[in-house]
Amino acid sequence: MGPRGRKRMLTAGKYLLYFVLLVLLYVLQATPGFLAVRGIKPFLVVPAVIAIAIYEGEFIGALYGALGGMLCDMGASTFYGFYTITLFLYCTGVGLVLIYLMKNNVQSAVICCLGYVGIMGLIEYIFYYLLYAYPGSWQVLLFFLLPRALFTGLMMPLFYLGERALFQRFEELIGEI
Amino acid sequence: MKDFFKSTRFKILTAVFIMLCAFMLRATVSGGITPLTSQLLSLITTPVLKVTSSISEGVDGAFRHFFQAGAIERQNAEYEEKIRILTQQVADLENYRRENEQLREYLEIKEEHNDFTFTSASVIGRDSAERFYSFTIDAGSETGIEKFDPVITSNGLVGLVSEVGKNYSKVLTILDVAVEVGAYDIRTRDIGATTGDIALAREGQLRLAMLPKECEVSQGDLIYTTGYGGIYPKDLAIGEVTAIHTDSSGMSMYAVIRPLADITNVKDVLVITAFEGQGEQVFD
Repeated sequence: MGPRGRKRMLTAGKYLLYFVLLVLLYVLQATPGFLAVRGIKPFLVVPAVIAIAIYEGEFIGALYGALGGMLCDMGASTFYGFYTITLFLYCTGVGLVLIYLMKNNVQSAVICCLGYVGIMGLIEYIFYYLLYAYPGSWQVLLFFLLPRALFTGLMMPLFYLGERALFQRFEELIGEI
Repeated sequence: MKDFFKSTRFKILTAVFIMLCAFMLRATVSGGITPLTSQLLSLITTPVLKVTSSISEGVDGAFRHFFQAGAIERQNAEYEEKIRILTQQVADLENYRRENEQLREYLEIKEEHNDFTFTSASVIGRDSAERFYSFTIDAGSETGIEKFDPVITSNGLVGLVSEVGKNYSKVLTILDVAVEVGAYDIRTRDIGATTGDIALAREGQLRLAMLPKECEVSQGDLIYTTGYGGIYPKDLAIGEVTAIHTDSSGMSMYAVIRPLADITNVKDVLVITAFEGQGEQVFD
């Protein structure tokens, strides 16, 4: 196999690894009791796809965003496609914003992650609770959606650093060819 | 940025976006049947989830013994084989015990309601995006489960199926604000409807609303399903009244109910796939 072929193999291997990691993260996210603090569990797939979008750019980021969204939709109580569409669009945006507007660092990653879970939490609150005028619906925002967003934001540096290590390792391997 | 909007990548992403929207619309139109993408992903994730959920719930069971065996192994190699066999036996016994319990529950309910057809299932997922303790079970359309099938344990009603995949289903619990069940007090025969309440759900309780002001419901009374609507069978136990209050309008009463089924920690459930009167009087 020539150098170009080996480069392609490595790139394909990296994308396959992302896929496997996302499935594993979804399994952990859905495992009863895993990382649950007083009934609140963080998203694990969301920070992972945002980290991928940061390093891989808007195109690959968008595709993995859609995949991550499909996984999230499997377990979510919202309508099917809620996370698929929003993560697809958001990861495209993150990829572009990181190229043109923001610096590629941990702070930017945490801001991007909090931005997504915050906006989604707010949309979920408005369309699934507030519009139905359930009594005490603010409690969902305060005791469920907000802690979940913060918990997910706290996890983001881990995913960012993990993705950075993975991305750089693959870049080195490809560069050596 | 302008370059991006003129690029081929942008065109491909737009095509993908349109395709995703089409999937979403199809899912909305088809109701409880999840789209192809979800079905395909579930083929990978459901078997893995079964393993991880049993690991998670088996802290008091076989897995702890497994870890203990590891520690003993390091201390004393000669016990390794013995402990491995014992561990396997404990795991087998635990499985038999659970299976036995499930069959016993099945039999008890079957004797009480001989018109029921069941499918047993285990809880394999409680996702961070799920609300009001809703969960995913390891049985789907392959085993005859359909949207709106009631989900129970031997203790009482748990909820209903809200979405069906080939090998998994999502269950909304009776603690959810979107789930309403026609119910009555078995002692006084007062009729109302149970519904989730955001504040009460945090304590694992729900509310029996629309009770007349002159109702005689009191603490300790048992609440059962009326069967009205054709979604839930008649006379399924829901819960026990823990308090009675006048509602904010002052026109009616509501009771606070503690479900008899342990909804927040349920691990095995039965899905009623058919019962007498199912689907009668159902209206959207």
